[in-house]
Amino acid sequence: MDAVDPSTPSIDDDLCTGCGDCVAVCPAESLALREERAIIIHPEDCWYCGDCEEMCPVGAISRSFEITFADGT
Amino acid sequence: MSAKRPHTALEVMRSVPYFAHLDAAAMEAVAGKATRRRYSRGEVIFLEGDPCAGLHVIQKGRIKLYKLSVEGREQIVRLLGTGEFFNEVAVFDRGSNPVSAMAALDTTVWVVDCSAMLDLVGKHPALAAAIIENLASSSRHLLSLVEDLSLRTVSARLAKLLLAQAQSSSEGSRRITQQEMAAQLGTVREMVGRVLRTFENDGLIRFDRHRIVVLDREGLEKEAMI
Ligand code: SF4
Ligand code: SF4
Repeated sequence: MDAVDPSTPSIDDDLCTGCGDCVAVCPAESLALREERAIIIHPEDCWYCGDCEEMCPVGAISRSFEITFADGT
Repeated sequence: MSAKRPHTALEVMRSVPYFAHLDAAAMEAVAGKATRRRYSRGEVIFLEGDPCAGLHVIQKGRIKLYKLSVEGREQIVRLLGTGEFFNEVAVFDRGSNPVSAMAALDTTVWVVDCSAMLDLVGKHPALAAAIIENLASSSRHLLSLVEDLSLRTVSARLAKLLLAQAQSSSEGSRRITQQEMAAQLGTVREMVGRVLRTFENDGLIRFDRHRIVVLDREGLEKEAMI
């Protein structure tokens, strides 16, 4: 659970209230509610747009970024 | 005097939009206490920190209200023109002038000194209402200025952070969330998101899924004021 999947946002179960706002907003339909918590059901469809992070009222969702220079230096 | 008579104080007070609802008695009372002063372009009218210079009503011209930082950098607080008034804050909190004022063009103002103004406001409720209305509008303006300024400093600090992160990721990658960036910069995630989008629109960075790629290193350094 702790391992960061590089391709999807992480959802903090302890913070999530199960409101479903992220599920509603996700353009890729990657998210769903299970036992009143949001989970990522289709990680392969997620394009890391951040709409869910933007929408979540309690800050339970976050995307992490690697920051690089264009030339890779 | 010459044939071209100057505006009377009363005419000037009537031209102030915020004074439009004053009754004749209040208008005359203010005008009776006002004295006229002329300033040439570039002339300082009063300085921040000096004792209250009184309420200034602009008959004609343009005034720059500004503050100077310790390094001497000037921050313009507001530009005002004909029919507007300023320095009511010092009049009513009985403190010093909160900003400096300079004539940005040749300017004529009418000045009512602090004690006369306080006295007038006590006697004419409509005048108090007009002053409050003006204060409310200035405070609205200042709030948006505060937002602007804090956004500007967040931009500089975020640009610096991105450069440092990009530098260190060349030595081994580490990922960072917008929440973590916000915590480091002493701001909130929404603000970080907003500034990142501005950087993206300006072509400084590009989002590539879980990567933020610095496209224009020099541009970002400029943003960071390095
Ligand atoms: S980042 Fe975008 S696509 Fe991925 S789960 Fe969130 S809203 Fe859906
Ligand atoms: S928006 Fe936030 S709190 Fe609501 S279900 Fe999604 S992760 Fe949970």
